[in-house]
Amino acid sequence: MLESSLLLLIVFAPLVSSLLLAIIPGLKPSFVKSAGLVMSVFILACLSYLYLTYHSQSEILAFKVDYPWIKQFNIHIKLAVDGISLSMMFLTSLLSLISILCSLNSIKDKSFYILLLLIETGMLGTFAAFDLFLFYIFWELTIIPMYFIIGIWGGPNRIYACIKFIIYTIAGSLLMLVGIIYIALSGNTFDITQLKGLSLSTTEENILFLLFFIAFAVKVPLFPFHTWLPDAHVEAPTAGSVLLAGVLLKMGTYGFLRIAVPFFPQAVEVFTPFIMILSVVGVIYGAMMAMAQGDIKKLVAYSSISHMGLVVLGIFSLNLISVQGATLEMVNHGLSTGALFLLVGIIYERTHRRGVNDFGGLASKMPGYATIFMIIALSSIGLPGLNGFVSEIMILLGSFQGSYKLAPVFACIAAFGIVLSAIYMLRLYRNVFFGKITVSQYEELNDITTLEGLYLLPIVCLVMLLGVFPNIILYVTQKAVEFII
Amino acid sequence: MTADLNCILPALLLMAGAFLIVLIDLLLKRRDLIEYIAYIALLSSLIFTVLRLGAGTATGFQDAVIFDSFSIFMIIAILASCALSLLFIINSATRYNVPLSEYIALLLLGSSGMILLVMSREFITLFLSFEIMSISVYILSGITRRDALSNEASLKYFVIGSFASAFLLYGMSLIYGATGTIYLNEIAYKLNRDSPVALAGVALMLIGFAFKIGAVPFHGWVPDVYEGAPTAVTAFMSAGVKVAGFSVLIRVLTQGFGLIPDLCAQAITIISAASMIVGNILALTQTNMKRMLAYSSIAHTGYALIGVATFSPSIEGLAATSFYLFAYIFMTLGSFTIISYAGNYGKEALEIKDFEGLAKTRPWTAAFMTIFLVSLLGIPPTAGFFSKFYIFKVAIRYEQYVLVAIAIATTILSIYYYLRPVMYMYMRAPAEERRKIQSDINMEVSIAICAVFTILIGILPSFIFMSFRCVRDLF
Repeated sequence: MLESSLLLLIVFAPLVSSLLLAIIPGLKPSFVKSAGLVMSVFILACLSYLYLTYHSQSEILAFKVDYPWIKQFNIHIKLAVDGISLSMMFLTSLLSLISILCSLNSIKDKSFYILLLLIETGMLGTFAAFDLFLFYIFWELTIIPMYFIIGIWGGPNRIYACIKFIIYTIAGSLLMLVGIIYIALSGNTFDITQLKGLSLSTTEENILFLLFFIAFAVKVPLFPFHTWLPDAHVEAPTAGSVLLAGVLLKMGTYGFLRIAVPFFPQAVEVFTPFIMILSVVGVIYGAMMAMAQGDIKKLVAYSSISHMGLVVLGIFSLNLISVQGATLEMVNHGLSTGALFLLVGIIYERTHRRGVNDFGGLASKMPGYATIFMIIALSSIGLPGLNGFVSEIMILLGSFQGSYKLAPVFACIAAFGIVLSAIYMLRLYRNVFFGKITVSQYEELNDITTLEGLYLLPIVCLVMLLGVFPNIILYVTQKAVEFII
Repeated sequence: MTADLNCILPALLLMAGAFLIVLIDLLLKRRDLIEYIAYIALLSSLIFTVLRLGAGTATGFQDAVIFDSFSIFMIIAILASCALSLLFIINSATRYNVPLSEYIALLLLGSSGMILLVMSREFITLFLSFEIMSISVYILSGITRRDALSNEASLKYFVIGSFASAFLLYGMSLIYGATGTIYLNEIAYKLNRDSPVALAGVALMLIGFAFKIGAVPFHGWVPDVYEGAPTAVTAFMSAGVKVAGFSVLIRVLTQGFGLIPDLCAQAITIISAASMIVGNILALTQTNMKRMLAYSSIAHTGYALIGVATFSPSIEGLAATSFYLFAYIFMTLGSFTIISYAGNYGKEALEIKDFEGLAKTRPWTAAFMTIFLVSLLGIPPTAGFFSKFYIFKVAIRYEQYVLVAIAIATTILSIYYYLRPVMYMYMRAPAEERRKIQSDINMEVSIAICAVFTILIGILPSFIFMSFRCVRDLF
């Protein structure tokens, strides 16, 4: 079973390589950077191969890896992928590669790249793990490296941001740990596939669902657990923000899809109206806060809250179209918001400012940059033809048809959120790119360099590609989503 | 006769080593010989203990001591902490200004007392070994004679500790009066829950034990003594004394107070909850590293007691506690060793300010300290996480939800003070030029061993199996 071993390799290779790079003394930073690059390219290549072979698999859950680990507790190292996992892992590896590329010039410490590799293992492992204990371990594995990345290489207020981030996240995770232990004890196993059909009493289900819900809600983030996000995103270095927004947030929604929703169907029904309210509030609140921001990065951070609210709405509407849309939006948002952070990073590199009103008329000086920014911004808004549209329309359509009777109301409110996103995005674009150049030194700005083009290009291509051929993702996730529902 | 001696051979070997060291120091004054004797004593003790692993239970001295697998597990833990403390002090004795031979002798004597304590099965032996251990540690905490803080710590420990020993003795005599026997297994049959004398005796004994392990509300000595004693002694205290104290508590509870498990469990639940709360909250404001770790050790006593609190329905909680203690040794020894090692110009890094910028000047030290702090906090994939996981698992299984809730809430609180040194190390610039006076290879080995075990136990916790087995034998 070549593919299973490949999956094992993909998940653990970044870990092993990061440890080796950390331990072996006297390595030059350039060597570490290249090693990191090679590793992420390798992972990406392996994942692409797996992606292509997934179509030929007969079962939904493919490439299983199962080794007993701690026998006394019935904990196994169990990895597997289905369509959703695979799409997320692909996104992860792509964004990891891009984050290494975008930091090559700005960050010279080799420990940064070692930490990036560690986070990559954590992320890949979370998406591939099918044993609850293993899932928890990989989930936590991403926290400490991200804490260091924000805290050491971040912006001026980074200490506050990283402490806030870690306290919120660990608090949520500990609650999830209690839930994991309880459900593992009830079912006598930690295996996700076996725990799905477990029958529990109503109170048990409700409480367990709440425990998992809080953990994932902090990660997503869902209003009102979102307050760590603006600080963490703004203060993180570019690579950190890309990975944070692009992948770590998706870990929360993935958790919903993989664990919270399938394990506790009755509790989901009970809490759905409440959750839908929270997600819609998140959409509108995120959008309105984004409109009011003066810092571009914070604007993008709030837009993340808005988009992820949409994803959660899609997930909890519980019909095929909306959940498909939600998974697609996970991928799309990862791409577009990741790209937005990259673009902000570029302009920050050049000018060391990122205020909304700090620029003007950049389009004339940096036409390539302006074009790419336009494409990404439109994708974020959800213009038809680009990827954002497909996912957003699917979520709205699906939630409109939702079983819950007030669902259409929620869908309409969420749709309004899309209008708001157009407002803040286009306003941002106009302030930055059109009009007269406000500050004279910006006359001399360089347009996109080759390296930056190199890492922006894949995203732009995927953005356009997924807009026209969303089936690339959808086909893969369809069966998995059907299984969940 | 030999069977009896075989039973207490681990302790005897250490004692013999201790006396030999004192003699040799008196007569020959050769430092390397002292080191070798200490290593040999420890090693032979360890070998003997490990050899007994499959050999079943043995009792000696007319059932005064028992050598079952619980003893074996705990003795290994005690020997490990003694060895690591030994490595700690061997090169740094001059820095501390302590007489090395007496120090090592006391270390070995204290460990032998701990070993006997773990093995004891009746009150007199229990008290005897309790005092051997305590007095050795009292002297050790004051062994830097010129340091006022150390003298204060030693005096405090001695006075309060004597009170605790008095409680213990009084409790034992009350129980003797109520049951007519001093053997734990016989007490188990005769302890009558209707007899107030017996219950009072039980309570007093529990107070004595709770003092030793540093549980609230008998924890007042912990911060001052941990801070004042020389760091090497603090490390030994936080690891070895805690293990020994918990072991004797477990043995007395299971083999002695078996008829009143629910009463004991209630008391322990309260103590556990209070320890977690007090330990974690009071650690938040500490800037002295040793004091912070002292409060954190109170908190960890609380976490470990959760396992003991579930002992009334089943023994799995005790297995969890044993595992927790075993993992805890490495975390705590490692962090105290680094505090001593990481200072500037050969001094100790006692205040948190001393950790500033350690990542730039000594990256490996900073990395190891991070590993220990993260493990104390309880983040995978470290030993600290797995031991907490095991405790939570047992607690949830036996429906101790309140304790779990308190544990989780206080762990969230503890994030801040465990990560604060990490912040100082990595996210602040070093204050001044840093130089070590000389590299202390023993300390480095000790730190490395602790770190390796911390991660190893987290990834491959096969020790659970041992702790299962050892606890089974208690019944």
